[in-house]
Amino acid sequence: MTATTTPLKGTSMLVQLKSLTKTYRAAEVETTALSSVNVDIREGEFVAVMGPSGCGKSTLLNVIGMLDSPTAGAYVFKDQDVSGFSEARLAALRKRHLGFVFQSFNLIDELTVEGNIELALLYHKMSATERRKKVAEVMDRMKIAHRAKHFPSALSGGQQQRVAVARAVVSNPSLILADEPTGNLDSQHGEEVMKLLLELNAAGTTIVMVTHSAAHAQFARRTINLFDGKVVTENMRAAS
Amino acid sequence: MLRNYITVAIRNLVNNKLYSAINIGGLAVGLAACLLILLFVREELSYDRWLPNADRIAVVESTFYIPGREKIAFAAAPGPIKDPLEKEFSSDIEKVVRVFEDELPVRAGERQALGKIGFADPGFFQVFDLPMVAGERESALKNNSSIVLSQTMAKQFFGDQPAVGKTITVGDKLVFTVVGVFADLPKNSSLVFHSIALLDLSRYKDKPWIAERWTSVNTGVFVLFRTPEAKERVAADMTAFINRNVKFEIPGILELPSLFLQFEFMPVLDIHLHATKPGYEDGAAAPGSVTAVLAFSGIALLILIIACINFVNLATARAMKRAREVAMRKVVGATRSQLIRQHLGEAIFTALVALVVAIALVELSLPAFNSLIGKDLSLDFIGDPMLIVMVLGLVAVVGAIGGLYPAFYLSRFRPAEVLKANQSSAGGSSRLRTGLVVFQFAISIALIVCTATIYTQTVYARTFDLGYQHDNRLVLKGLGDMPSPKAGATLKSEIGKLPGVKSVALSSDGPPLENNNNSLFYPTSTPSSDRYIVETLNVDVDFFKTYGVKPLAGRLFSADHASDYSPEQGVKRDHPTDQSIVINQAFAAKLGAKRPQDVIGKVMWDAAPEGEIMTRTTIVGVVPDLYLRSVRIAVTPLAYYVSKPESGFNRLSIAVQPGRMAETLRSVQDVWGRLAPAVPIRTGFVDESLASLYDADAQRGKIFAGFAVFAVLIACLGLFGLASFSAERRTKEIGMRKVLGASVLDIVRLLVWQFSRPVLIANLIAWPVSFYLMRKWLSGFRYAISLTDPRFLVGIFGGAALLALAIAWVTIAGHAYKVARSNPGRALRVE
Repeated sequence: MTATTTPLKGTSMLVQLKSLTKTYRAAEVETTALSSVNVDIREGEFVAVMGPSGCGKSTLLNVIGMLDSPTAGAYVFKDQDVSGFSEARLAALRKRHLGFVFQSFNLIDELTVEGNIELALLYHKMSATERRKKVAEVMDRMKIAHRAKHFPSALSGGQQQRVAVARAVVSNPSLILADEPTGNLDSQHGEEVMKLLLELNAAGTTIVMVTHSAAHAQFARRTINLFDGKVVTENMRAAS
Repeated sequence: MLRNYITVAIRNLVNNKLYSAINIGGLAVGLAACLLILLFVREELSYDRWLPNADRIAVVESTFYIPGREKIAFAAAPGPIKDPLEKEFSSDIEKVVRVFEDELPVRAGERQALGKIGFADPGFFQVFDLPMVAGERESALKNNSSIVLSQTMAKQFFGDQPAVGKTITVGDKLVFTVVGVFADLPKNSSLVFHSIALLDLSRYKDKPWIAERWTSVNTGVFVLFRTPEAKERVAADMTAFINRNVKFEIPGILELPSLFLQFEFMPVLDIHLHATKPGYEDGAAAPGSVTAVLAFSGIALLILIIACINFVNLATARAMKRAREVAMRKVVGATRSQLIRQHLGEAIFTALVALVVAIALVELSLPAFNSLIGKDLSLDFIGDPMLIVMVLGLVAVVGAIGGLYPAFYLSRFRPAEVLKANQSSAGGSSRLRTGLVVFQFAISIALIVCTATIYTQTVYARTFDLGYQHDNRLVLKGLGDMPSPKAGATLKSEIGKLPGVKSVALSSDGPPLENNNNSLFYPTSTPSSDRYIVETLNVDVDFFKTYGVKPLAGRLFSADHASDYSPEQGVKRDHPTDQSIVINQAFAAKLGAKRPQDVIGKVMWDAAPEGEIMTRTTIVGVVPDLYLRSVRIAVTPLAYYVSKPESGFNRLSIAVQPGRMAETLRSVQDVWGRLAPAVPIRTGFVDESLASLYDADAQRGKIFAGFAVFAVLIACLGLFGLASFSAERRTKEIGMRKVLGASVLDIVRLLVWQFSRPVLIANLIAWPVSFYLMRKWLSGFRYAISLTDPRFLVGIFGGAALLALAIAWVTIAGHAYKVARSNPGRALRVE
């Protein structure tokens, strides 16, 4: 069964996937991770993506996040078809518009909390002073300024994910992509991270989150369900 | 951005101490080896560049071509060449000077010692613009009683007193006034002058062979060309020049002189590395060799390649540890070129850290290296800014070569694959890593084979049966400086009576031969084209007995046979006289003898200058071919003359009873002191002198060995690192094997065999390459080991293979044992 998602009215389109297909080829085996997927996401949305293991959730996120290119179909980001863009152009778009939060945090062990957050600004044309200012602001916002000089190995899981979220937002992206952000956290820390994401969304950041947790999916306004690489259902949570 | 890169680089090094140590250690050893070789090569290439007009100065070399014999070459030329060269090539040649250097007893006040006096033509200082430190130099060559000394010689005879104005007595007859002192020539000089006085030919009227015969080569001849290009023009006309000017004055020689004699011009700037003719080694430090420079430069490159291979191997093997960082950088917007620059920069940074360690290693090893190669190299960055540029350039190249592949490899990581939870990227191609290990060990094994071959050949040369006894043989030289020729006979008689002495003999030269004297024999008393030009040695009746030589046929010289003795030189006769000669097997073969006894009693005629009567010469004995020179040179046909002890010889050989050398030497010194108190004694040991013929080869062998150790060390470091990495990767597999019943020995065998295979394969590459190179090197020896001899094949090549394998096992086994003993439960828990 396929379905087309229904975007929010009144806001501009951020992401449009049109009949998007992604296949992987390894030796003689071809795997179709996504099959003719149509997804529209408007600015300001909080969208959860759910489905069983291997249904293509992470692949969908990677394609939206320009970490992977579609095999067929089109990906329009902010009215630009980025499907055939080179790696260099995609990198430029990523650094300008996207932020990522991963299940396993993916912090750099050799950098402090401050250094990890600053990493997201290093490839922008920005002076060191300006970078440090932005980093300080976001650390305050995420309430991790007191751990600025610590290395990731000295932090709890929840704190590490806060750092990862800080890194994702420091460049003020239009879209945050979160791949099971609470997967490695206990319930309390998981709740904290979800509240953070909610706050960001309330401030205007668009969020697309992959999750296994139905409870955490409730934080999103819209849930897209995938099965075998296809969008099967889509649920809207009533506005509260 | 740069600060971030440097911070991550430093922290990566600190957090991975083992691999950092291996990486930096391997690069440091490689850089240290390269630095040592760089210092050596720069020094070798710097010879004689200090000399003003060096590009216009050349030495005249002579080569005699004698039919049926190998050519005889000298770094000298006949004295008569000077005038016609200057006259006929005046548009191309500015000046020609001859220098006849003689080592003579010198006395200044109470001090006396041997000193080298260079007797030179006027114009010497026009060619050699030697800087003066005291006095002046021009008047030294205006008369035959003035002299200039080198700083060292001045200090030797006058201490700290000014030498200018003082007098020295040379050879008890010549008195000179010192008019100037010139600065010691720099160490990187292939020509050395100790003192300069006028070459006064009137002093040598009774010794025309010094500078007046075209058949005698006893003077160094130096040419100052007007331009560097003029040399080629003059060289092109040499054959015609020889035919116009050279006169052999030997009856029966009717052919063009250019068939027998050729001259070549060796530019001063090429002497050190390219000169091969005998005569240069009397100069400065040991002559160099362009082959050695190229070989060591090649070794430096190979060692560097091995070190870079280590770096590449370890960096790519551990790439997965950096994969996450690389992927995140890409996620936040880094481009591939930015990542490549980051990792290339890290490689250069690591190389810089390695450079600091390398400099420390070089400083520590320089004294031993200098002692080995007989030089005085140093890392003088302040005095030699070009060295800094070269060293930094080397580091940049090493960092770039070592870092390029890992940088490209790392920057290829795809974030989508790397960043998913529990996924990790493969650590590169294990086939490439194995291939690189094979290459490293191939280089190391080749170096081991070369070292073993050089060592074996040197031992072979030094223990070669030379045909005569040469141990416990003491030699006294310079008998010609004794008060009279008869003093030599008295010396022999007195030394012969000493208790530790078995036998004493006089000769004109001795093993190893320093000169090359030849005579011309005709089959009949009429000169013709049927003739034999053979090398000769003048000995006394006890020579063969002193060296333990027995005849193969006929007899040896005997005092009971008066007709054996050669007639006195310089005496005009009106009738033929008789003499006997003993010849070697090579001469007998040349005469067509199938057996040595076939030539006994054969009569030939010893050529004489025009107008003089030839000497009737009878062959009375044949001795074995004696190897009186290096085994690089073939034995030539040789005839021994015999003369009476009082006729004047230059050398006394003493066969000493074993164990009594020290006391005999003391007694000999006492006897000499009584008979020639004004002449410093010159002693030597025949076996040491013969062994020293191979000093250069032995030295090169040691250098090869040293650098082979470097190469093996670096290869082992890399192997250790890879073995550690491999064991780490196989932790789960090893855990499962142990759960399924594998013993510690099974696991050790598994890990050790993984890396034994590349080492064994490396032999297949190393053997043919080193076989080819060493066969080429051995072809320079007339008498050499044969690499196809099963003893050497198995010993050298098999030995190198086993050694490499043993080294690899020692490197890996310890770590493999530690891993094999680890708890399988813990290994299987790790994800």
